[in-house]
Amino acid sequence: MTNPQVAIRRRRVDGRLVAVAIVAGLIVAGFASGAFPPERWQHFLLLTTWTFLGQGLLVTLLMGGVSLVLALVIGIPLAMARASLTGPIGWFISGYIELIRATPILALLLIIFLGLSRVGIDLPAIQAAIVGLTIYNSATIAEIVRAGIKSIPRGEVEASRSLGLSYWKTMRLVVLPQAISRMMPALVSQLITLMKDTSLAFILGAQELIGFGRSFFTFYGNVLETYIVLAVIFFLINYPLSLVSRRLESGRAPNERPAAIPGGGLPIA
Amino acid sequence: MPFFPPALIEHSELFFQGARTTLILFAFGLAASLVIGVFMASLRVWGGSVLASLAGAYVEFFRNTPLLVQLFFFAVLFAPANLGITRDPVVVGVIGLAVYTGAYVTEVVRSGILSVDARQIEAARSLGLSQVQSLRLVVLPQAVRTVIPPLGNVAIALAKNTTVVSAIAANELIKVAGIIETRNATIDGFIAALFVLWAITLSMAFTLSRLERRLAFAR
Amino acid sequence: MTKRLSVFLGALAFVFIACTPGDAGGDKPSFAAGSTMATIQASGKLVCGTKFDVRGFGFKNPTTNEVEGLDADLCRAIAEALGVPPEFVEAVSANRIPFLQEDKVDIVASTMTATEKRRLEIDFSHIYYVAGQSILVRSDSSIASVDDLNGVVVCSGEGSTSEKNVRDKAPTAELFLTKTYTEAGQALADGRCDAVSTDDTILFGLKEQFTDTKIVGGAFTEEPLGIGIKKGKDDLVAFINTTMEAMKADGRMVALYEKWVKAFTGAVPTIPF
Repeated sequence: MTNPQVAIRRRRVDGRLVAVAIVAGLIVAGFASGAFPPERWQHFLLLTTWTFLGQGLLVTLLMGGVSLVLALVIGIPLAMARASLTGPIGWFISGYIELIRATPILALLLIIFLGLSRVGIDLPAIQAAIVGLTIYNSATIAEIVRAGIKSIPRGEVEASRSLGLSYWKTMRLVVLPQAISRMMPALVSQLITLMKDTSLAFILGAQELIGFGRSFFTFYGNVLETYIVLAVIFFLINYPLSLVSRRLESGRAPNERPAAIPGGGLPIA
Repeated sequence: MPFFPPALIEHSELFFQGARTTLILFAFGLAASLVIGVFMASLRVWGGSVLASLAGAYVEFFRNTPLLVQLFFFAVLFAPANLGITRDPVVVGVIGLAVYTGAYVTEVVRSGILSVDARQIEAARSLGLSQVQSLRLVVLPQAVRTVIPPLGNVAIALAKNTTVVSAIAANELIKVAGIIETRNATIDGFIAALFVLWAITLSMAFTLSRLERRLAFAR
Repeated sequence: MTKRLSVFLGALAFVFIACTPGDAGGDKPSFAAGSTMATIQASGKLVCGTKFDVRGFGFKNPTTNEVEGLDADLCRAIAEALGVPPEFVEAVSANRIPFLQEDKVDIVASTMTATEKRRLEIDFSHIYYVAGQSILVRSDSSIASVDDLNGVVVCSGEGSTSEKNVRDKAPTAELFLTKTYTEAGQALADGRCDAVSTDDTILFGLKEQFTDTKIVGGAFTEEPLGIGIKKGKDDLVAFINTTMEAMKADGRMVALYEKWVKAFTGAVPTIPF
C-alpha cells in the first residue's frame, strides 16, 4: 500500500520540477530566438559589475538592517505601552500607531526628507530614509507585538500575578517569551516588506542598489536586463526569508497563532 | 500658514487631477488584482501540480521583489519601442499595481478556499449538487467570510502603494505634490496629498474593523 | 614610564595627522579663521552636488566608480585649490537649490542655469558655459522646431527651467516630467514621449547614449551655466571666481573644454568670463 500522503507530496514535487523546466525552457528559447540579446547580458559577467552593484547592495542591506534594529527597539516598548496604558496616553499611542500604519511610506519618506530640512535638521537621503523606515516599521512592529501579547491567555497572566510575580516579571518571564515566538512569522514577513521598501530611498536620491543599477544601465544601455537582475537580487534576499516565515508558521498549532495579526502578517506592503 | 496654502490654490486644478489619478489607480488596480488573484488561486488549488507550481512561482516572485522595480520594468517593457502595449504611465501603473497586488490576493483567496473543509464538498456532491453548484452555494459563502478581513488589508496596502506609481511619472497625488514643490518651493502639496490619502486609508481601516466585528459575531 | 608612553602616543598621533589625506600635499593653503573656506577645510572635504547621469558634465562611470565631466572636474579644481578632496553627491534639478540652502552640499555644479529668479535664492560663480535649450527627437521623427511640440508628449526635468520654457513656448505640449534626464532619454527611446527638451549640453550626452536620436530646432533659449553657492558665502564666491580666473590664465579651462565639450559639439567654446 502506498501512503497517499507521500503520493501527493511526490506529485507536488514532480509538478514543481516540470514548472521549473517550463520556466528554464522559456529562458533558453528567449536567448535562442534573440529576444534576450546576449550583448545586453554579457556585462553581468564582468567582475567590475558586481563590485559596482555590490556597493549599492551594501547600502540597501545597511538601510534595512539599521531600520530593523531601531524599529524593534522602539516598536516593542510601544506595544507594551499600548497594551498596558489606559486613558488619554493609551489612546494617544493607539492613535499614533494607527495613523502611521495608514500612511503611505513614500509620502512619509518625502515629508521627512523635505520637511526636516525646512526646520533646519539636515539629513542626507540615506539617513532620512532610515528615519522614515524606522518610524513606519516601529508602528507596524508594535501592532504585531501587541497581537502577540494579546494571544497569551489572560489566565496565564493572572496566574503569574497571583503567584506573586510583579507586572514586569510577568511580562518578561511569562508573556514576552511566548508572544515573541508566536509573532516571529509576522516579524519575518515584515522584514521582507522592509527590505522592499528600502528601494523607495532611491526616489529621495539615495545611492542604493537601484541607484547603482541606474548608473549601470545608463552606461551599458541594458535597462530591462538590469531591472530583471535587480529584481532577482531582491528575490534572493527575500525568498529565503519568506521560507523561514512559513516554516515558523507551520511549526505551530493553529490555536496558538495570533488571529489578530492580519493573515499571519501577510500583506501591508 | 493660512488654512488653504497659496501654492495649492495656484495649482488646484493640477492637484484635483492628481487626486483623480490616484483614485483611478486604486479602483482599476483593485478590480484587476481581484481578477488575477481569483484566477491564480484557482490554479493553485485546482490547477494540477504543474499549473499550481507556476502560479506559486508568480506569487513568490512578485511578493518578494519591490513594486518600484516592477513598475520601472513594466514602464520600459510596455513602451512602443518594446512590446508597444501602452505609453501611458497611468495604464502601466494600473497593470503594475494589479500584478503586484494580485500575488497577495492569490494567497488570501487560496487560504479562503482551503479554509472550507473538503468533506463539505463531498457532502454537497452526494446530496446531488453539481460541482459548480457546490462551489457556489457551499464553498463560496464560507470562503468570502474568511477572506474579507485580509482582503481589506490588501486593499489598504494597495491604496498606499498607488503613491509609488509617481516614480514612473504618472501624475497622481505624490507626483503632483512634487511638481508643486519644485515650482513653489513648498511641501504643502505633500501635506495635502497625505490628508487625502489618509482619508482613503483610514476610512477603509475603520469600515474594515467594523465589518470584522460583525463577521466575528455572525460566526 | 608614563612619560615615555605619552611621547610614544604623541608620535603616533603625529604620524596619524601627517597621514590624513588632506595634508598629503603638505602645503595646504590657509584661510582666515571663520571664513567659509576655513570651515570647508576643517570639515576635510568639499561636498559638491553634480548630476550623475549627464555625459560630458556629471556622469558616474560604473567601470571606475568616478564622477566624470566638466562639472565634476570644476569641483575637483576648486577642491584642490582648497586643499581638500572632493565628495560628490547627486544633485538633480529638483533638489539642488534645497541642497545648497540646507548645507547638504557646499557647492552645486550641476548644469544649472543662472536665472534671475534663482539669483534671488542663491549666488552664482562666473558663467562657465553658455548652453541653449534645444530638442532631441527620435531619428524618424517629423518634429523640427519648438512649435511642433504643441500637442505631443514632451519629456523634461521636474523643476528645471526647461520645463517652464516648454510651457511658455508650446502651451499645449503634454509634459512628461522625470527626476533625471536618463529617465527622459529612456522614455524617448522607448516611445513613451515624443521629444526631450532641455539644454543642449544634456541633449548632447543623451544623443550619445541613445544613438537612434537627433537634435533639432537649434537653441531657442540662452542658458548661462554657473556654479551655485548658498547666499551669504560671498568669500566662497570670490574664491571660486579667482580659482576659475587662474584656470583661464594657465590654460586648464580650455583643456577641460577640449576634454569634455569638444567631443559633443566639435568645437572648443570661448570662455564666457
